[in-house]
Amino acid sequence: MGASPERFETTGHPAPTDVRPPREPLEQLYRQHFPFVWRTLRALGVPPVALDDAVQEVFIVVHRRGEDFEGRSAVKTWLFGIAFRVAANLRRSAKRRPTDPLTAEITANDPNPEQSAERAEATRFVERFLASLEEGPRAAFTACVLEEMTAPEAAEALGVNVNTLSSRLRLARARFTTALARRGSDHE
Amino acid sequence: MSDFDEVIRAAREGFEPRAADGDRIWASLVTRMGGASAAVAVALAAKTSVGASATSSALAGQSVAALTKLFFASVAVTLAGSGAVVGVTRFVARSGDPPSVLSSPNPRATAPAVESRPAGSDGRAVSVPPPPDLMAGDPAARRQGPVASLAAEAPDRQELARELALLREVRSASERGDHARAAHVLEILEEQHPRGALLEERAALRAVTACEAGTTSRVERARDFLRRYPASVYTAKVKRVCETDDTRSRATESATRSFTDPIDGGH
Repeated sequence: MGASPERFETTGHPAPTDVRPPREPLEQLYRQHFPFVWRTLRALGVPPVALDDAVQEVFIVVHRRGEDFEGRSAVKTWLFGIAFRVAANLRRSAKRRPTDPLTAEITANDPNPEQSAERAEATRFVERFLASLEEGPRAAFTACVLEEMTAPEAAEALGVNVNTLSSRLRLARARFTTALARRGSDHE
Repeated sequence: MSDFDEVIRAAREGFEPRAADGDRIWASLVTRMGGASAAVAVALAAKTSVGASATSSALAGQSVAALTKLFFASVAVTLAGSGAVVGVTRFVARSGDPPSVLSSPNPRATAPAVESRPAGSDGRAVSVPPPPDLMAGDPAARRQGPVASLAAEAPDRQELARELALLREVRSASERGDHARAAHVLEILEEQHPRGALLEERAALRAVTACEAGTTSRVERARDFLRRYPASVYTAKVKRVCETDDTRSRATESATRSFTDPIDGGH
């Protein structure tokens, strides 16, 4: 296979917020935001086995709805909302079909086996914690803690008011702190 | 840094994709959306009773304006220009075969095997250039301007997307028992991608398809593949499908490896 001269940026998190309508070729949008979409879908509970399809679904929606994007919000906010709905649809679909890959254990297939043991352990811990949350707090934690979006941005992406978002975020952060304390005592 | 921040930072890094993930998904996306765009164009052409070729001629002069104006159109042409759809569907249309899902591995995005063109959001078909290897010397290619140049940025990916689409069609045809179609598309692969990037995958699919069809000696097919790719990750799959006493006796250490899909690599 010929080596591709251009590779997708996977470092430098978090990506700077940009406020720019996606009236640009899809490939450019994809290159810039693919890592963000991938991370978000993972954090929202899409298991590795279904990630490829889920990422594609997000960018297919971008392709279809590009003209609807009004540019009043950041592209990341818009993408997060799409990813949230794609993940929710996959989850509903998995419930209807028990054999769907989405029912597979999240940690059964680590998509990045090259990472360090410490990082892998932290990743599994956060994944398990996220899986213990309800959909609302999980999305709030993903947006505001993992992706460092502001509360108003996350609220807009999720279609809720800022107070609701803040309440969900407080709940999720409190539970995470508790889970961390339990993890610390287990390690001692 | 607190434990909270430390764990979150590590998890962020753990959630990052690998560079290869982006390339792989983009190739699939190009293929999948190329099929969807074609399906939309065909539906619109039928609705307005305008023949595809006539529409193309009438709108050829307007294509650049349409492309620069419309996000949808620019995306459609970028994708179709990558050759994921057009080259394949033209080939099949010439061969006189029935409608195909050749360009669309996803059943939600099937496209009839006709010369199809994406449509702009104003409902009119947009002129689409043929893939680069078919449009040498075509003045229409020069008229596509910056949009077409985007498609020309990554010839490796375009080739890969086309090859991948064909491999997926082989697998799809094989899975639904259409062995004649699978064999036909394998021939297309040989003709269009004689030195493709996925030759090992192709060989594995060829062996599996032949064994499933039962049209040739299973032992011969399995032996051929094992001889050419003795340490392939697809060995177990080929052996399982082509299983015979002979291939069992030739079991190697690679037989214990878990099967990796010849096309999607286990994803």
